Amino acid sequence: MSFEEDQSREIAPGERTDEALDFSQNMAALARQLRDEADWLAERYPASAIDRLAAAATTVATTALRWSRLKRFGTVSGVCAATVLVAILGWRAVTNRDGEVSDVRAPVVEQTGQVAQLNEAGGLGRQTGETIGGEENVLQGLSGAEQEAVLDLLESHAAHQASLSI
Amino acid sequence: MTPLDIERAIDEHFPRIWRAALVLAGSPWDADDLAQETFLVLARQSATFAGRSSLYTWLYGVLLNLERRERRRGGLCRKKLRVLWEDEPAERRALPGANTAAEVTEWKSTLWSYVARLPDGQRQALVLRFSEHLTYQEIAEALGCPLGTVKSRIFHGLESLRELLEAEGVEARLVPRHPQEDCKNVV
Repeated sequence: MSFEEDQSREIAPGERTDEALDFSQNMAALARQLRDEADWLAERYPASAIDRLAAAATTVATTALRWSRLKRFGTVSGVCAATVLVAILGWRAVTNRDGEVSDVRAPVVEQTGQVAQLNEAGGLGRQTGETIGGEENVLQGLSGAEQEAVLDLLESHAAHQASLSI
Repeated sequence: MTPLDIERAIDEHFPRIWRAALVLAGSPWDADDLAQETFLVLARQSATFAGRSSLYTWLYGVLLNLERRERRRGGLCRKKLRVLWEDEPAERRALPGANTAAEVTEWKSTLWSYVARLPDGQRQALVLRFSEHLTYQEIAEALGCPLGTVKSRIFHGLESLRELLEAEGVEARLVPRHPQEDCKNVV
C-alpha cells in the first residue's frame, strides 16, 4: 500500500523517532507505518508447525552429530594410520640405508686389509699396515690401562717416524 | 549444540524468524519453508555458530541468505518464463491470477510489498529494523557489515521507498491500524 502522508502530522517537529538516525518527519512516518504493518501481518498469520519442525530438527541434529563424530573418528583414524605408515616407511628407509652403508663399508675394510698386506709385502709404510691391521690384534685381550699404554706408544712411535722423515 | 539445545532454540526463536520470513517472502507457506529451512541449517551446522554474536542474529543471517538464494532462483525462473511467453500481451500477464491467495494479496497491500522491490541490502536492513526491531548493532552482526553501512542502508532504503511510493501515487490505506478492526470488517 502507499505511504500515508497524514501520519507525518502526528509527529511533533524535531521529535526524534529513531535511536541514532535523524529521519525527516515523512521518513519517520514511513518507518512507523512499516512497523505497524509488520505487526499486523505477524498477528494475522502467527507462526505454526513448531512441533513438527522441532521433531525434524532434532532428528537432523542427531544425525549431524553422529555424522560429525564419525567424521572425527575417521579423521583421527586416518591420521593414526598415516603416522604408522610414515613411521614404517621411515624405518624401512633407515634400515635399507644401514644395509647399504654396511655393504659399502665391507669392501673398504677388505680394501684396507689388502693395502695392509701390500704394504707388508712391499716393506713400505709398514707403520700404516701395523696400525690398521695390527692394532686390533694387539689390543685384544688387554685391559683398559694396557690398551691406553699401547696406543700412547704407537702415537709416540708415529711422531718419532714423522720427525725422522723431516 | 545438542539436539536439546536445538529444541530450545526453536522454542525461543522460531516465532521471530517466522515473522521476518513472512515479511520478506509475502506468503505464509514461503515463510514456513524459509523458517524451517533456517532451523534445519542450525541443526545441521550448529558447529559453525561460534557464539561471537547472539544466536538469533546468526539465525537472521541464515534466513536472509536463504531468502536471497530463493529470490535469485525465482528471478531466474521468471526470466525463463518471460522468454517463453514473449508473444503474450503484457497486460494479461500483469493481472493477478484467480487463484492468488488472500494472504499474498494482503501482504501486497502493505508497504512491505514495495520494500520487496528495493535492493537486497536496503530491503534486509529495513526488515530487521522495522519488522524485527533489532538495534543497529544487531543488524550489523546479522548482515555482517559495519554499523555505518547499516545506518546508510536504512536511510537510503527509506528514501528509495518514499520515492517509489511517490512514483506509484498515494492511495488510501488498506491495512487497518489494529488487527481487531479487520476481524470485525471481514465478518
